[in-house]
Amino acid sequence: MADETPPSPTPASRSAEGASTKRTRRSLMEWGIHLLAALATAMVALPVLGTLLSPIYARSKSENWVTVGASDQFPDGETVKVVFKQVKRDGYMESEHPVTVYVSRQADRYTVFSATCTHLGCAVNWIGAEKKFQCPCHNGAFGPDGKVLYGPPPKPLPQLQARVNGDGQLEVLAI
Amino acid sequence: MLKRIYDWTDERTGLVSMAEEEMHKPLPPGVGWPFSLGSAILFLVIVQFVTGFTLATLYAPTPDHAYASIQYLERNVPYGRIVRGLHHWTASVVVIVMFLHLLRTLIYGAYKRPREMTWMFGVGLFFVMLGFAFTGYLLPWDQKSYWGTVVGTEIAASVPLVGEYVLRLMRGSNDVGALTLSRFYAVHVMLLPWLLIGLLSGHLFLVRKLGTAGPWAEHQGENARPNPFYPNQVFKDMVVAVGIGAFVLYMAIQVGAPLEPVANPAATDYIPRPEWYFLSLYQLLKYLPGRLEVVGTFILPTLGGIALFFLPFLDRSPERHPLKRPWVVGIAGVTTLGIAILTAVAMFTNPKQPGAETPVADPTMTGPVTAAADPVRGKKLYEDFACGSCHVISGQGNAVGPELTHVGSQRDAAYLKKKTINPKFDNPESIMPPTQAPPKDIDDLVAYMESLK
Repeated sequence: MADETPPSPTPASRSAEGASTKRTRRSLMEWGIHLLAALATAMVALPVLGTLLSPIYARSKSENWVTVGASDQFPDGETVKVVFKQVKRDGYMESEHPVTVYVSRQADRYTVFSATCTHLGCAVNWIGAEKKFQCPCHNGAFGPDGKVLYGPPPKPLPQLQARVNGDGQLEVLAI
Repeated sequence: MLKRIYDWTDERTGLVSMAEEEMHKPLPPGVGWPFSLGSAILFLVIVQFVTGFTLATLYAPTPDHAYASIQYLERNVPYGRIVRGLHHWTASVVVIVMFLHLLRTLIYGAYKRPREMTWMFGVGLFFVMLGFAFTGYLLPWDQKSYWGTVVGTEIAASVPLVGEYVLRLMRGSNDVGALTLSRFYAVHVMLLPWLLIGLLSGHLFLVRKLGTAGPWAEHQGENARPNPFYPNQVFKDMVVAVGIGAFVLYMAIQVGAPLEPVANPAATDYIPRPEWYFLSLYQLLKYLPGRLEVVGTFILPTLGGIALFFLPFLDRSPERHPLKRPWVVGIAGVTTLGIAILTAVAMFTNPKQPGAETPVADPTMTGPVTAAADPVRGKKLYEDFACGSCHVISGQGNAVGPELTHVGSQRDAAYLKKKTINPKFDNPESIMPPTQAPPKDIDDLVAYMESLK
């Protein structure tokens, strides 16, 4: 491909100088073709890949503090199940999901556990009498502090960030 | 290694050496810049396929979500604005380049024997491209696209005898609505691309099989030398394609694609206008009142299309010199001029859109918010502009930017106005996009924010 000279009826009398100018012109053009091809590709590929690959690099940073309820409604030293509605942004839509969490209050410290078992994602139940979270699926259990008591769960029960706002409402950071 | 893959493939398919042979085929003498438009169109078509696929990954073809999905794409998806801008501007530019390509072929008489079918495939491609334009126009589901489609399909209804059926077939029901959007989307992304690929394959196959016709005979002097396709013509083709591509990219970044307020079938103050390449027909209708209207909506375009398609059979003499074919070149010239004049008249004389084209608020403006500002309308605008995708009010929204729940007691109206129009005025690091809206909208938005105590 590289050494093929274009079919040209150059008269044999033409000087060698002319032939070398032609070669330079040809290699310049080939160089230009490569450059232009790269430019044309970049022009389209950069924005398109930027959009198509955005789910990888542009994690949604939306912080969404959701009110769970008045902080003083939670009895000290106990764990209570709370279901609240969370408005979730789903691409161009917003949809409302019910979310279940467990709120455990120790004096002024509020710990909010997710109800999702770390094993395979089943929803755990708080057994007040036995002071443990029991997973109904594969007999895993977590203590009141969320640590694994027994069974297959590989990690403690996840905690949600929680805070009490100025109006005394308990809020959690919904993901 | 590469060489081995190359040889292996070529031994079994012969495709590689065939492609290479094609690359080095000499072109007739005198072929040069005017012959680079076809490749430019091919490049633009590829741009449309790639950007179109990308848009389709984010678009929802239902009236409930179409507009919101485009807004989301424009405001929240990285580079989404540019991708949509590329698709929008390429759609316009490809119509111009196709028209020039067609005109060039016509003037050079390149449609004559044996290239009649190359021409017919080409004209077919031009119609397919107009079909893309018409169906794609509706998809954003804003005022412009909704009303443009209402009028466009109404024009189809003027076809004698079967008009009403054509109208219902296009709309999927009696009105432009959910069914119209779905079928326009289906045609735009499933039917037309396949038609395009089929016709384009036929066109390109014939172009390579028959070779380009080159200029008419007088160009070929004694010293004329054949022109190698590679690298000479390829280089010229690529310069033109990349030049057009750069223009499209510039427009996509600088201007972007327009997005008017969401489609409102109840609006009575909206002036529907078609996209610029249909403006000449639109203008023509103004001169054809009453019973003559069908001449402009149906008879002229249909006859013109048929004449264009069958041109090789209407002009059969082997003569290719434009000056020796006064009828064909004359009619083409008059038609082109007519289209240009009608388009220009339509562009410069039509009434301005109320609201949509009123000047955008001046960024330097700091004056007080007018007393007539309407916080209720402002709340509606806050939702329309999807401000909640970055601001939280009473727990609703995403906390990317500052929370606005009590903004009315924290900032005064003048500050809010300035900040809304030009978010960088007090903080160059601000990532908030400037709010581009008519002054009345800005005032109402500010009034709404002021009401949040």
